[in-house]
Amino acid sequence: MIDRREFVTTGLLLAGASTLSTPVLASPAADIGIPNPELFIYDSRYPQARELAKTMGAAGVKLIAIEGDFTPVWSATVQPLWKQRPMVVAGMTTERALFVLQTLAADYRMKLFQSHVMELVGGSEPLHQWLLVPRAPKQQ
Amino acid sequence: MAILPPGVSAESFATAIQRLRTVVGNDWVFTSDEDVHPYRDHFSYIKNQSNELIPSAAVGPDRVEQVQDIVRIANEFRIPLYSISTGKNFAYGGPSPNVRGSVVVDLKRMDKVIEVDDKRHFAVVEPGVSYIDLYNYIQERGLKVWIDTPDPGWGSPIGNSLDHGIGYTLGFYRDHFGAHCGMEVVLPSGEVMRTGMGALPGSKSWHEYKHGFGPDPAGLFGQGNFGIVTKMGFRLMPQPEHWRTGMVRVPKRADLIALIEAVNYLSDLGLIGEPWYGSPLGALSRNQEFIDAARAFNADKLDSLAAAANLPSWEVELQFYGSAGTTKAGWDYAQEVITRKVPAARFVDGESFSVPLTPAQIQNNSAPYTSRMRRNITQGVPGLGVWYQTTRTDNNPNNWNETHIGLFSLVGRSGEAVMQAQKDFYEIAQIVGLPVTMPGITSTPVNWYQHAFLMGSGFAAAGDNTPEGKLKATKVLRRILEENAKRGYGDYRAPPILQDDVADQYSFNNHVLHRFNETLKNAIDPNGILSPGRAGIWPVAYSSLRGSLRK
Repeated sequence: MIDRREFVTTGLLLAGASTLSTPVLASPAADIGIPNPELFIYDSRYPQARELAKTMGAAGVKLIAIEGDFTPVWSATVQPLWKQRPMVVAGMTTERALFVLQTLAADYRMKLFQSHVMELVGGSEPLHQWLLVPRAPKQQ
Repeated sequence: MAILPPGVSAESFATAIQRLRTVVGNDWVFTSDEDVHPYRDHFSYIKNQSNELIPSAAVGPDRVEQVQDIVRIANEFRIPLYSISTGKNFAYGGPSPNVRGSVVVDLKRMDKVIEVDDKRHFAVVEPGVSYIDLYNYIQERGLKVWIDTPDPGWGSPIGNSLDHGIGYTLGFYRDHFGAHCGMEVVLPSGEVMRTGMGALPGSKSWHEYKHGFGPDPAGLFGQGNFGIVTKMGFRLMPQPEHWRTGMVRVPKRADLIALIEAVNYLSDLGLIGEPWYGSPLGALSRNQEFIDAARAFNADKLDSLAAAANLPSWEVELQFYGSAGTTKAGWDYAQEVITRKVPAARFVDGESFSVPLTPAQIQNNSAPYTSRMRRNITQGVPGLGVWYQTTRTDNNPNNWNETHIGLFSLVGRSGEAVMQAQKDFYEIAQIVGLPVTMPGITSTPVNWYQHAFLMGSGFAAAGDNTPEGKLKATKVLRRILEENAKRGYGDYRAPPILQDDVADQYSFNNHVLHRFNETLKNAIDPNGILSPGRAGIWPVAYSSLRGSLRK
């Protein structure tokens, strides 16, 4: 079990894909109140994202691949899931896809918990690792 | 609940919030910082400043009756409301209000597609229906109509049209407010009004004849604050059988005048969709000879440099909707008309596809030339990919561009007007101290509105995201607006932070239009609760806030 600090500084959000391990990704991280991701959205044009997707897939996380633009998967795949309930979603995408995702997520009572820009490795847009989480339940 | 509406005590506000909860349910009244956060403007120039336009709360009704109750409660407690549909009007304020502490009326839960008729070619929707939703509704049912979508397509037909948004297909449909037909509105009194034939109980043509009888107040609800629109009809284009494109190139700078005349003619005959203008001479923008010629507006020298580089001065890509035969005939006729005006014009056949295009055809441009078109929007297919324009890139490596405010000025629909605007905007850029090296002599108009041109006159494509940088940029934008107005250029749309400035410039006859609007506002909305300050229209109750964002 990792603690919050470790999670934030060395875990899913801030580490490079090659340092990630299944236990980190699959860990309930109950001590910080964040359950496992239910979805992993990644930009399949990038090797780092594909590598991380393999790990996430092996951990039982539903994978959703995009190629830069989030549009093709929004209506058919993601929106129906988010209409059911807010959920934890991890991702590795470009910044513009993240912007679209976090903006849409806000309509479904979710928020960006953390994001980290990765070093630019080829291409003109850097990748981001990020995590969307449900907003706090409403109080009376 | 750190922020309160102006002039409202914490106790009174708490009571009002409790009343709102009884109307929509506890789950749909948002007051925590975390829940209110999505109603802030991601691109605000005053983000995290003490005057940022943050709402005090948001409320999400799911039916008209709830909207009526919300309005009545707001009247009782003197709470300013700010209604949004999907709240995606980024660059123009997004979901944030004109008055800090307003309660946002978030209409996303009112998300019914009420009707789509593919024989009479219209749709009727609620405010929470996005372009993507409407497109999916049509596709899932195999209806033979197209929407005309803005880019990106996550906004709503109602919200976009009410802010005078635009699209990219045939001229009539590109003007989204112009293509509306009939609306239902909750007035500041809480009453429900229907415009056009909707005012006739049992009318069979509400969404076909929008004028009804007598004065039509529908225009008041576009960029206005006279009511909350809860239903709206829109004309839809019948799905064409075929789509075709072609490129037109003309060699000389002065050819733009005749080229635009010809394209205007074709456009106003209804033969072409949106024309996409451009200038290949941008390729010479680092050539010092070219820069010198541009600074001197030396057309002869520019022409000779263009000829030496084997580049045309201007080009326009045309698109045709119809059948294979009519689009071919249209393209042939376009070449004939343009050749008459510009004998040296050259033409390149573009693409020719049966409709609907396949996803691959939409994604991959196979024209034998470099096309500026974003294909999906010419096909009425909404997308979300356009945000590449603000992301960090090789040209903008350091920051996500938060300073996403665009100024688009109306320019006459002629080549002379375009070239005059190029000179004027260069002069203005120098006056306000923008780091420009040369005039935008290759800048071209957009023809989003069929009968008008818009030209970018200030757009922070890679701005300074610091508070100081944003403040400085805001001052520059205000100066640009002032200088534009001196030369007869007005903006068509603005974020809240600049709406007073833009409104001030529509000042004919001692601001009579502005005074007329505010006279109406005070009569119709005596407590001034609906979106006070929107489009610079300030009711008496909030008039002390007029211009407050300039400080």
